[in-house]
Amino acid sequence: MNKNVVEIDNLSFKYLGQNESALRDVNLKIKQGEIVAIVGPTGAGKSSLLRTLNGLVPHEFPGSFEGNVIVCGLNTKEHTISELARHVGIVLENPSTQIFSPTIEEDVAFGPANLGLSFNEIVERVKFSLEACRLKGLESRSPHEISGGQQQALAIAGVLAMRPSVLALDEVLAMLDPVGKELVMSILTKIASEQKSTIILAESGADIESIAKFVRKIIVLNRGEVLKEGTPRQILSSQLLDEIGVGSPQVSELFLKLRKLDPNLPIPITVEEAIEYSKKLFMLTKKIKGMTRQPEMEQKIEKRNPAIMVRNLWHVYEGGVEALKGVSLNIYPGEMIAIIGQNGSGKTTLAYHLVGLLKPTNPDAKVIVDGIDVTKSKIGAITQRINYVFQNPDEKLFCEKVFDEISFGLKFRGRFDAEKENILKTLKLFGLEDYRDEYIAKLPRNLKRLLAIAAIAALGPKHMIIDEPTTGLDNKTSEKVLNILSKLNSQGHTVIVITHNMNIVAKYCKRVLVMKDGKIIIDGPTKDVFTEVGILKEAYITPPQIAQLSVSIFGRDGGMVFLSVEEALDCFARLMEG
Amino acid sequence: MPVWLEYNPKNTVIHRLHPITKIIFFGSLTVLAGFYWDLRYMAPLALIAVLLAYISKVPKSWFLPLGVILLGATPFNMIMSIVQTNPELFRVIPRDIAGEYLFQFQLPLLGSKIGLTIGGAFWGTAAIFRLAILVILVYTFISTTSISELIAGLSKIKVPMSLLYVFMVAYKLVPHLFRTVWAILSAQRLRGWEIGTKNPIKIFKRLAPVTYPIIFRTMAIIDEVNIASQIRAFGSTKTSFSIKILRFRAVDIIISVLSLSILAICLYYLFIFGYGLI
Repeated sequence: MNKNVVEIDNLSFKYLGQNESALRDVNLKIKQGEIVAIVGPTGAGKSSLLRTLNGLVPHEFPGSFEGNVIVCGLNTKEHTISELARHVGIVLENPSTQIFSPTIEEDVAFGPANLGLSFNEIVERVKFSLEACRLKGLESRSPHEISGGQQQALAIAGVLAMRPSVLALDEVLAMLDPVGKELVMSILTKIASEQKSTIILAESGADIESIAKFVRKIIVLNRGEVLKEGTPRQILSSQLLDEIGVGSPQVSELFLKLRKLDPNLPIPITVEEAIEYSKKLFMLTKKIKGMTRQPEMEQKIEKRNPAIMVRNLWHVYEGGVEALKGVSLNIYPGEMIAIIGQNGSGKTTLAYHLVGLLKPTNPDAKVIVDGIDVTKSKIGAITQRINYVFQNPDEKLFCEKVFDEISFGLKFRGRFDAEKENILKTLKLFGLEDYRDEYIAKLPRNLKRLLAIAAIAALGPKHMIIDEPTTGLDNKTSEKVLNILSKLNSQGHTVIVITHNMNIVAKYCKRVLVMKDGKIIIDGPTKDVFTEVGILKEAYITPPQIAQLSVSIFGRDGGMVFLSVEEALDCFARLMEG
Repeated sequence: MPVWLEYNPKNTVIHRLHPITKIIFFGSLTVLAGFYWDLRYMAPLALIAVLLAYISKVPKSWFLPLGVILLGATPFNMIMSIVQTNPELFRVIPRDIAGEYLFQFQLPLLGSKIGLTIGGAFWGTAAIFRLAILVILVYTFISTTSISELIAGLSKIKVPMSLLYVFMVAYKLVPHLFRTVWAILSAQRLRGWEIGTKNPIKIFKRLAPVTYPIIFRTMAIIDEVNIASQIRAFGSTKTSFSIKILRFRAVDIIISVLSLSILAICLYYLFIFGYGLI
C-alpha cells in the first residue's frame, strides 16, 4: 500500500492584511503516485493550497498560519523553500517568470544544476524532460521565441527534471492547445506511474474535461474549504461543480441532464464512455435513421464588403522565424469569429497586424480595415475602428478606480463629456455598475478581466479582437465574458476571439479560422470545421466533446453536429422519447 | 529576437569563450576604459569595442538606446566639463593651454562668469567616449554570456551565492521588463494614449498611464522571479554549472593571460608615466 506523501492537518491560512481566510480547516491526505485535482472556482484557495506544499506559504507569503503541512515527512513550517524544492516541484500559472536561461536546454538544466547533480545525470534528465514535454529539437532555441503553450511545457520540463516526489501544477493547461493539454496530462500520468511521483493539479474549470479522465481523485475547494473528495465519477455524477461555477465536462453535463428522463443513466467522464453509453442507449442503427440535419442558424452577414481584408501577409521576425506565411482573409462586418490553432501558429501575430502593432515584412502585403490601410496608418488613427485586448489584460490596468479606468481612453481623446452615456452603458453591460467607485487593486481577478475588456469596449471600436479572454477564469466567469461579447456582437460589433477553449468557440462563434505554422488551413462555419477531425488534429485541435460525440454517432457526413450541450440534449431527448 | 540587454544565442568566437575568460577580457578593457582620458588611447579601445560587438553579432537595434544614453548623459557631462577649470587637474596637457577658455558667459543674477576651458573640453569628450565604450563592452558581454554560463563561471571562482543571486535577478529582470514595457505601451496606445507634446510637464503627466503599470509589474516580476528561483532550488547547493561543457581551453588561457598582462603593463605606464592621462 502506498504511503501518504502529503498530509495536511487542520490547515487555516489568512494572508497578511487580508480580512478573509484563504484556507479554512483543510484536512487532506494524498498518497504516493496519486494524480489529484484540486478543483474550484477563481478565488477558491487552490493556489494558496499549492503554495503551502513547498513552503511558499508561509515563508514567502506571510500571514496567520495554523495547522500542519507535512510533505515527504517534512513539516513545511520548519524547512526552507529551497530544501523543500528537492521534494516538491511547483509549476506556476505564468510560465514566463519561471524561465531563467537563454536556451531551452539550459533552462531545463537550471534546476538539476542547482541540486548539485553530476553532469551526466543532468544531461540524462534534460533529455528525458525535453522528450516528455514535446520540446525535443528545440534545445538551442530561445524560450522567448516559442509560444506561450510551449513556454508552459518548458516550465513543466524544468521542474520535471528535478524529479520531485510531489509535482504541483497551478492551472498549467490554461495556455495549451487541446492536443497539448492531452499530451501534458499523458506525460503526468506516465511520471506518476513510472516514477511514483504524486501529481497535484489546480483547476478552475476550463480544463476539467482534459483532466477528468486522468486523475484518480478530485478535491472540490470553495472559499478556502474542502467541500467534497472523491473519484472523478463520484464528483461528476453530482451537480456540485456546476453549483460552484466550475462546470462539468460536456458529456457528463449532457448525461446528468438526461437523467431527468432516465434516472438510471450512467455518467460518462470521457467522450469514449459517452459514445459507448449512447450506442447502448439508442440501439444506434435503428433510432438515428430518421434524424436529419437541423437547419443552420446562419448569422445574417452582409458578405459584399469585408470590414477587414488581409492579402498575402507575411511576418518574419528578426532571427528568421516565419510567424505568418502569406495569410489572406476577409472578415465581414458583424461577424463573431474564432481564430484557433496550436501554440505558436501565428494567431497573436496576425492580431497585432490587424491593429497595426506590427508591420508586414513583405512590401506587397495588404491589411485593410474599413477601407483604411493599416500598414500605413498610425495606431491612434485606427483604434476607433479596430481594437485589441491583450492576453492578461488585467496587468495593464493603471487607474485607481473602476470608473476612471473605463473612461480613461475617452478622457484622453477629449470625448468624455460627449460619451459619458456610453461609459455608463458599458459599465452596465459588463455588470460593473456596482463597482464603479471601487479601488481596482481590491477587485478579484475575474472582475479585473471584465474591466480590462470593458475599458476597450468603452472606446466603441467597430471591430474587437480579444486574445484568450477566458484563460485562468472559471466556467461561470468565462460564460459571462462570452455572453457580453455576444451582446456586443448583436449590437453590430465584429468580434474576433483568439482562444484554446473549444467549448466557447462552438457555443458562441459562427465561423472559425484554424491556423497552423503561420497559415490559415481551414476557414468555415463552426459546424463544418469541427467535423474536419483529421485536419484539426494536424493543427493540434480537438473538437469539443459534444461535437466529437455527434460525429462518432452520426458519422462525419451524417449532418448532425452538435455545438452545445443544449443542442445534443434536444436531439437525445427526442431519440429517447421516441 | 533578444530584447535589449538579453543574451543572444549565437555561435561566435566570443560566445565560445569560457565565462571566466570573458570576465577577465571584458573586465580588463573596462578597467582601461575607466582610467584612460587621452583620446589617442581611447580611440583604439573604442575600435576594439566596436569590433567585438560586430564579431559577437550584438543586435543593431541595441545601438539606438546607446544614442539615448549618450544624449541623456550630455547635460551632466557638460556641467562637469565646465567645472574642470583648474589647470592643476591636468598632468599631460600644458597647464596654460588646459586653463585657456574656449568661451565664457556671465551667469544671470549671480554675475559671475563661467565657461569651457580646453582642458574641460578634452575631459568632456573623453567622458562621453568612455561611456560609449563601456556601454558597448557591456552590450557585448551580455549578448555573448548566458546567465547559466555566468553563474557557473562565477561559482567556480567561489563568488558567494548571494552575489550570484543579484546577477541572476538582474539578468532575468531587465529583458523581462522590456517585454512588459512593450506590452503595456502597446496596450495603452490602443486605448488612445500618446505623448503628443513636447512640453516636459505634459510629457511627465502623460507618462503616468504607462508608468504605474510598469512599476507595479516590476515589483510583481521581482517577487515572481524570487519565488521561481527558490522553486528551482537556486542556492540549495554552493555550486552550479551550465549544461554546456565549460572547459578552460588553450585559447581561454592565452586570452586571459594576455588580457591580464596587457592590463598590468598599461596600468604601470599609466600610473608611473601618465600614459593615457590628459
